[in-house]
Amino acid sequence: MKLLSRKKSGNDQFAAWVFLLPALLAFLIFKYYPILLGFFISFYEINIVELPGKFVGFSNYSRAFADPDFYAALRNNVEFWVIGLILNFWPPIILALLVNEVRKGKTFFRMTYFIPAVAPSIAILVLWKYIYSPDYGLANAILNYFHLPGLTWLNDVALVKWAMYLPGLIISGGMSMVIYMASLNEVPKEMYESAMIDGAGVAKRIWHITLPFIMPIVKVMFIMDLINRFNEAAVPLVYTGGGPVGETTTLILYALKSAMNNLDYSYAITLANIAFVIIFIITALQMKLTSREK
Amino acid sequence: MKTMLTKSVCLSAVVGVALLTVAGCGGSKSEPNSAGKSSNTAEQGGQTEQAAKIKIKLWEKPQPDAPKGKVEAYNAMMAKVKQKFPNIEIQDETLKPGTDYRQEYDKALMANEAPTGWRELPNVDIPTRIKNGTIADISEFYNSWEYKDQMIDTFNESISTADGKWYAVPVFSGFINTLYNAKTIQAGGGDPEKLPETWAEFAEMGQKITDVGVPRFGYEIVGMDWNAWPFTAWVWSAGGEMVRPNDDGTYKIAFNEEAGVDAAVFWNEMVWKHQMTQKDTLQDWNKLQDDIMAGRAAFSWFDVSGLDQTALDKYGQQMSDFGIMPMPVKDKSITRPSLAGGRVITINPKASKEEQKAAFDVLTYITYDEELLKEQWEIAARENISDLNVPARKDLYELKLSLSTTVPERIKQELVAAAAGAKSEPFCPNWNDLKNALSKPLQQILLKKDISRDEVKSLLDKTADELYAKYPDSFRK
Amino acid sequence: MSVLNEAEIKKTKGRALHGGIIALLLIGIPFQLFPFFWMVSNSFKTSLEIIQIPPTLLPETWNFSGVVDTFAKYPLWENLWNTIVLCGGVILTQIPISAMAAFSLSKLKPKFSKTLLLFFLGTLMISSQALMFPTYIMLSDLPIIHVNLLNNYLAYILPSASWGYMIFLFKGFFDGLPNELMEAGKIDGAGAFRMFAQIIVPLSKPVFAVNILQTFMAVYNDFIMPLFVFPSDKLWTIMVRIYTAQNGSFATWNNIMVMLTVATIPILLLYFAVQKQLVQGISMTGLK
Repeated sequence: MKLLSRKKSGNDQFAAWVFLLPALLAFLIFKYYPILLGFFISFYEINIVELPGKFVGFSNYSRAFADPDFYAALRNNVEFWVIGLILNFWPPIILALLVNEVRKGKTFFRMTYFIPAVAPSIAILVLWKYIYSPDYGLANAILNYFHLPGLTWLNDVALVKWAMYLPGLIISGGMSMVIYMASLNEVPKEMYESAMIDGAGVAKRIWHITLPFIMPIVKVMFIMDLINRFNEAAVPLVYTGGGPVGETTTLILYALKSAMNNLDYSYAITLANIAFVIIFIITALQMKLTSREK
Repeated sequence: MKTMLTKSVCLSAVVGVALLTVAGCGGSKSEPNSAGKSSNTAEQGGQTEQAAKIKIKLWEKPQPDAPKGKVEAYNAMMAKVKQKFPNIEIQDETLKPGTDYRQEYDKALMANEAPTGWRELPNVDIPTRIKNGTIADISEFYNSWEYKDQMIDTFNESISTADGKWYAVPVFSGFINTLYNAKTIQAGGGDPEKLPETWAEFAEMGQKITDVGVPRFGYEIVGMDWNAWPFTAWVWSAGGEMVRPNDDGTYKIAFNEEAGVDAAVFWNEMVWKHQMTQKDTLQDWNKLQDDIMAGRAAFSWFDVSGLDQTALDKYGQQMSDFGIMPMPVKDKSITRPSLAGGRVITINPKASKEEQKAAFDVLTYITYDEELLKEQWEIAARENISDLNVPARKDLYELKLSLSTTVPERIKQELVAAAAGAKSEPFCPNWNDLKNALSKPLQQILLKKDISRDEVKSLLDKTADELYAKYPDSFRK
Repeated sequence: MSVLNEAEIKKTKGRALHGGIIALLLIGIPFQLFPFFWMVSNSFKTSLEIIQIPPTLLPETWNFSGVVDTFAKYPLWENLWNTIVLCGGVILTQIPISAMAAFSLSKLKPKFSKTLLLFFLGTLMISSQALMFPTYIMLSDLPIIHVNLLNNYLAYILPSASWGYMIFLFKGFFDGLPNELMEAGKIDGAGAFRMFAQIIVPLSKPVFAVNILQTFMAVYNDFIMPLFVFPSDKLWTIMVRIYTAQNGSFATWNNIMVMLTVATIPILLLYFAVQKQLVQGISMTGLK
């Protein structure tokens, strides 16, 4: 029996909603309900024995905005973001460009440079903590070999963030690289050919053709990177526990620690909510800017 | 006739059945935990006429990778419990390892998953928990309890209130001071028979012993998040206090007095002037433990009751090389302190009265019954499990010491000697918040090479002011 | 396509550049592979040797008993099985509902599709840590049906079924499929479901492969969420086991290294299996 006998658009709408239904339910129940619950709880001072506790209105939020540790955490997030951009954002792009040029053995290089992404993240973190150990780590051993004094690396308030992102400079392959490679693959040969005819060298070709072509994907990765940086907590937790002197405590890590150390659950949720709103605003601004460009 | 709708329904049904099967295979049953729902039990109360089994939940089970001696001890203990309390059905689970056990308890309490009774909370937590209601008032059980006059009384003040209400009873008490490794001291050219008593002697020996090439450290300093915990003992060894009680139940902050500043300055000097510590002053607890157990540290802050030969075997070290001494003091007029603390039995406030009593009976039986304890200590001796804590039954301490054959005589004597200067860790409300507040300033003090005494004082003053502002009900000038 | 074309490569300048690139990449390879080497090498050392200063590259004495001991001490097979159940469970729920929702938004165009897209993608902005605590409260007592889901596989699978990123990926690909396909299907009298199952899905096999791999990796590496919703260790995955072990229990360094190595094997195998589909699938997701 042909369903086409019914109104086409009406039937399509019905089908569309049926297809959406499972996802809608899942998101409503397991994402939006907890989000709302989180906001709801942030207006209370949690009583562990008798949830939810005492209604306190906005006082958790005003506490956050008066809290110097909150601003310190925010500053840390921004610093992480900038340092991450400087050290970790572009290596996968460069790597993708390089591997893409290889004629024989491209698959081999792509595989070996993707593999670090497969290793358990804990393994990489533990390994680098060990390398950075001021007493017996490889890093200081190398410095001493060149007769340079050892550094305190992860204990150094000024150096710690850079030290945390240095591994990303060295082990820079992974999913991002493969994604960039797929995009680079799409650049039409003709564009390069015509540029060559115009006498453009390699550098010019990359600047005027390659980069603009992959810009859309770079933009998407940029936003994802931003979101991840502002939600970062697990990495500093394992690396430094938030130290030294709170230098690596991000917003979310501050929230986690408020819950873990101070048993201050309402405050933890408040901080997480604030982080969410900040990311939302930044992302919305970002998207407005890019659509205006178009 | 297969419409699209039917197909989606079929698909959902298949997925649904698959999920239910998966759910069925899931670990523990998903029925509500009876331990927490007091209202449910009350409703069901009318139905159960016979001597019904009272169900309680505990967190006593050892880790799956615990040494077999611990497992054997646990099984023996539970066998005795089953015999003594046939009407109590125990659901026992293992709490995941980690230092966030307090948070796990709160989390579980919120979800009605908490154990009916527990033996892990430190006594210093109790005043805060009396305030926030996360432990039950057990006065009525305490008052009719057979062993109430035989429990150690070192922390009565922290586990009961001024008007005679009881919230916990002790499990054990122990103390920490300075652990030393005689072999390491000797290797560094020191004399283990002439242990340092003053700060000056401590610094001299520490500096001599330290050799970063080996590596060998004079003192393994604790700079990570918990630094305020050893700092307390150091402030005492400077002749000072962390807090002083006021008349009205609040406390005055004292760590920023001259003695506290002395201690903080000495910490900084140990790292930079005397160069007698590891360079990674903020290293995490696991690494600290590695250094200590591997014999890389001559002196350290470590609980000797956490050392046993099975643990040391992995590092190739001998228990007989270790010993304890009270903290070195600033000058000889000060009594050499040790930091005492302990764990207590607490009861879940959300459980029903019957469940609470059942848990109280079981846990106090495990902790105070002479026959059961004797069996435990014999197993420990046989299986090389060390347990040096002072048991809750003050009359049984000597028995315990005599039964523990795995502990070197010298350490036993040192324990008894140090007990004289053992001072209870402060238990004022918000004590844990005070320690957390000190964590960052102490790290700053440890990390800055040329820090002046005034800077140290102002950092400590600033922390004190923060605490006065944040917790006016607990801290007052 | 590559920036340098065929003719250039053959000339000396091109060849030098090409050679230089290969040399550079070769130098980088040991760094990429080092963590694996480190894990495997340490699995065969004694614990004492692992923390030795200065550290040794290869074990001085090959110690196989560590591997046996680790398996005896920890229920690793159980943990691996739990990991597979969770990965499988999440894949079976998340992939179909994401693909269906993406198909709807892309091809069936319901009303409010822009808002709906934002509805799904907006959830990416909130940190998973932030959601954990309310989710935990909710799971301990599900609204309406009042069931405690904690310590049940579903406690992890159901919340993970909703991942905005997956809908984004699928939609990107479906957007790239020409609408003529849909038109052709309608002429044949196919309903939406038949079009989805018989036309779209077969065309998207590589995309499904890529997305399944990404979901698998995300679930596989996740140790924080399972720890939260599984207080009892019966349902722990291998990553949770590793995290708790190194967080202070009776685990030795050797145990941890063995566990890390064991944990890497399944995912390496999966990667090699879908390797070929990977790049094809990514370029098809239309991330460009």
